[in-house]
Amino acid sequence: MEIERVDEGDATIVIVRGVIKLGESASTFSGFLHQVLNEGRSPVLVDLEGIDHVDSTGLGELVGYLQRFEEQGRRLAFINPARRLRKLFELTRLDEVVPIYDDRDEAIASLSAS
Amino acid sequence: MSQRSDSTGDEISIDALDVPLGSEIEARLRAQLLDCPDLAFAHLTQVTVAGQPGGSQPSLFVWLLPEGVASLRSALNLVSEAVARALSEDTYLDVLILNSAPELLRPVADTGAPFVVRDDAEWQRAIEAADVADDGTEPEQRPRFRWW
Repeated sequence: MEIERVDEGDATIVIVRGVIKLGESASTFSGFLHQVLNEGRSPVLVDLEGIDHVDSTGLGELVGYLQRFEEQGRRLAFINPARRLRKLFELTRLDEVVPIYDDRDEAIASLSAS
Repeated sequence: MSQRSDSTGDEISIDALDVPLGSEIEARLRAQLLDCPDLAFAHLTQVTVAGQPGGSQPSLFVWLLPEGVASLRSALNLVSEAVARALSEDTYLDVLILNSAPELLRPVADTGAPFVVRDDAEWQRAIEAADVADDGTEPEQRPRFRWW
């Protein structure tokens, strides 16, 4: 798994590629989210374009951090998921608690305005 | 086979696995899942998003016990650990939570017997509740799942 961070205006984009699995990759992913949560920047966009599979560890980390972001009144969203991944999120209704956008600029505009 | 269309018209189908994972892997996966304390039952299926390259993948739908839902992150980590122990490095299995979308339980159950049942009473309760709730109510009108 690879993670890259890009700051764009007030937004932080966390670009994830590969599979977030139990162990080192989950710790790294969690560490990234922890860092951006503590920095206080908002919104935070997790770019899922390079993710093909929903490993339950990755799902658990995402849900865990969604809760923390919400508790702090911060905005977290997913961007660019592959169509299949997006459908799976919709199927299991994860999209009810986290906004999902197909486009980074649309996400930044929408979340910065709200 | 159960087919559903979402708001964008994409067709999603949930079926029994076309190609089994293999008896050895499935036996290992079953044994590992039986050791997950927060798991009530699981179905091993194949989810297909029509028109997608690689859109058909094995998927494990899991139903967690209430205590597992209350500590979702840790429960999902244990499921992940079980899957990782059973599968080879280059085999992936999408893990999907059923508790958040109970309306999926009937179509998932229609693909075949559960892969694992750790708590038979919870399985019975969930499937009966799913059938009662299957009254034509649109999913978006149903109560939201409390993810945390």
